[in-house]
Amino acid sequence: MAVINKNILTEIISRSFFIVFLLISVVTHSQSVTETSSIEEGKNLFESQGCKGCHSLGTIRKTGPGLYGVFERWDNDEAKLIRYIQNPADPEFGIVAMPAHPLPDNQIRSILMYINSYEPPVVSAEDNVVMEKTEDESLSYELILLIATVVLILLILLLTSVKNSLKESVSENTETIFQTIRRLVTVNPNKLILGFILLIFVLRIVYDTLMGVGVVEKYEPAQPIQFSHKVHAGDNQIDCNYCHTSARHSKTASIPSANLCMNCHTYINEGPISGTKEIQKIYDAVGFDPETRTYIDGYEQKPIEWIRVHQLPDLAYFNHSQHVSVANLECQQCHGNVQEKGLGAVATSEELNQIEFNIKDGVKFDHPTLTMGWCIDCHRQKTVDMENNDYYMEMHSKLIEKHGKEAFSVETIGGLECGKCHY
Amino acid sequence: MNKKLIFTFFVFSILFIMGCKDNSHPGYEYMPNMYNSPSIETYEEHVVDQYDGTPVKGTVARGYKNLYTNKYTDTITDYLLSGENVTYPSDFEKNTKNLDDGKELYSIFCAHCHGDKGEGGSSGKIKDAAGIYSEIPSYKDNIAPRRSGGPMSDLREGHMFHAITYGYNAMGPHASLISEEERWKIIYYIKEELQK
Repeated sequence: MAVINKNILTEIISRSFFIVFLLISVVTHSQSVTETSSIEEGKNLFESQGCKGCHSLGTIRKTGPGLYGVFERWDNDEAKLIRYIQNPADPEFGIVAMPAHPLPDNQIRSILMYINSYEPPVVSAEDNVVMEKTEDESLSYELILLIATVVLILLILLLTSVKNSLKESVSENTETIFQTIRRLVTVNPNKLILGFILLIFVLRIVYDTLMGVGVVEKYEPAQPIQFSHKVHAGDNQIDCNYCHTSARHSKTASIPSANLCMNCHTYINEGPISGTKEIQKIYDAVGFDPETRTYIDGYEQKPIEWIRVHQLPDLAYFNHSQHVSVANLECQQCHGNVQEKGLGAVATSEELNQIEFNIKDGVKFDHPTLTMGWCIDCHRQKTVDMENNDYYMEMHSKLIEKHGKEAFSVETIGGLECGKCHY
Repeated sequence: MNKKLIFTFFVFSILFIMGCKDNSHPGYEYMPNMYNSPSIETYEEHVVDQYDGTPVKGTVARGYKNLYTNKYTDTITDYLLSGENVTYPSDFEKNTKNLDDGKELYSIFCAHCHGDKGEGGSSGKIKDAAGIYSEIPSYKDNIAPRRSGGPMSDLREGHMFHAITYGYNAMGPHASLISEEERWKIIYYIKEELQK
């Protein structure tokens, strides 16, 4: 009897649970059926369903188009727009699909209400004036120098005329500026000393010029696009190897091609320094329309003619992958802190001596960059990192056996042999 | 008069020589013909008959087998097919070395947008004015069905491979940057470390 009672009890409990569950589900279902759409709900959905990620409410184009005026673009056909949001891949629409959002009609209606409630902020005339002013303030360095020069020359002329008029008033002889310069130079009591100083000066210039032959330090040619390494590798921390793709596995580090620029610049149309001006040059080269985000059909593409900065003479062999992938060097050890500079430039050896990786490795350069002495400086001083390097695994044990020590410079493993680089 | 002329000439010649120290010029070489060979160097301007600088038709760059792009094109149908059929190649070993390689490659090619841990959002380092690259979905994302039909966390290897090869939305195609082998290493790292 007790057993039956227990069975009945459990059945009653489970049934009552089922009924409660049914009731709850009916209530919640009826709530969603009641088709209440509100702007607040639309706002929440717009943010939680990932609309915000691709669409702005204004006219700014993100991954998808800006949503201001979307109803006019869809001929005010709300039902069609709702069908599109639920299943964009439907052949009915025949346009590029965004991800499907199979939400109930009333929720999408809330989102649409929210989108419709947006009013673009009115840009007042005062804001425009402020923007123009900030642009004017950034006077170029050359212009400041020019103004300073003109002011100084005017000052000299003014003072000379004052001096002359004063001399006239006490009836002394007046002289022009050129006469003054000539008097100061020619009426020197000891022409020999002056000649000697000039000779040293000239010799110094001749010496510097001759020693500079074959040295390309500080070379920083003007490029077709005012590219900034600081913005890309510094501020946005893009790895050097992302753009200089082939440095890891080939001889050259590669100048990125325009398709690589377009990986990001399809969507980033404006830079922090020069606005749209420089990025537009990529679009001009490849034939891209940033308004519609499409490539122009039949456009005659032309290469961006970057000027090569680092160029070793043809008599020397150099391989990037050997240094990047095998030796695990940091780019900065030879190229300096490129992520803090603008255009590509040849670093000076003084600058390289300040790089922390070089200090850590105990490398100090005495010769100008990209000369042979500079290569040798490092090959003599740098200890080869053989510990975590598969490339040297077998070789290291052999070297320890042969030399009876643990650490080896590049020189020990043949880094100074002529034939390694000149053949 | 004559003395004055010589003097001005002297001053100007010194100024001229000093003015030559200009960073937009690479400087001079001892023997230019040993520096510049008649053969065409990388990125050099050249004119060769019937050759426009593109790879010869039918040739394949080392490490770029293009087995995938011959079969699957940049369409949504092929994307879904790729998700169903494509998986790691038979010679791909799931070992720690490939995982480490994948991690390094991820940090080079993916981390600046997707974030170091693949969490997307504003964890990426690229800060553009429109904020497009601050809205990238996380690999563990469960909301909103994506074009694969499921959420990001359910993406299969084939989907990822298609996305890296052809790109999608704000992500550009990375086929020319990352070889097929390297793409599998990255996918292996994402599946093993970032989606778990």
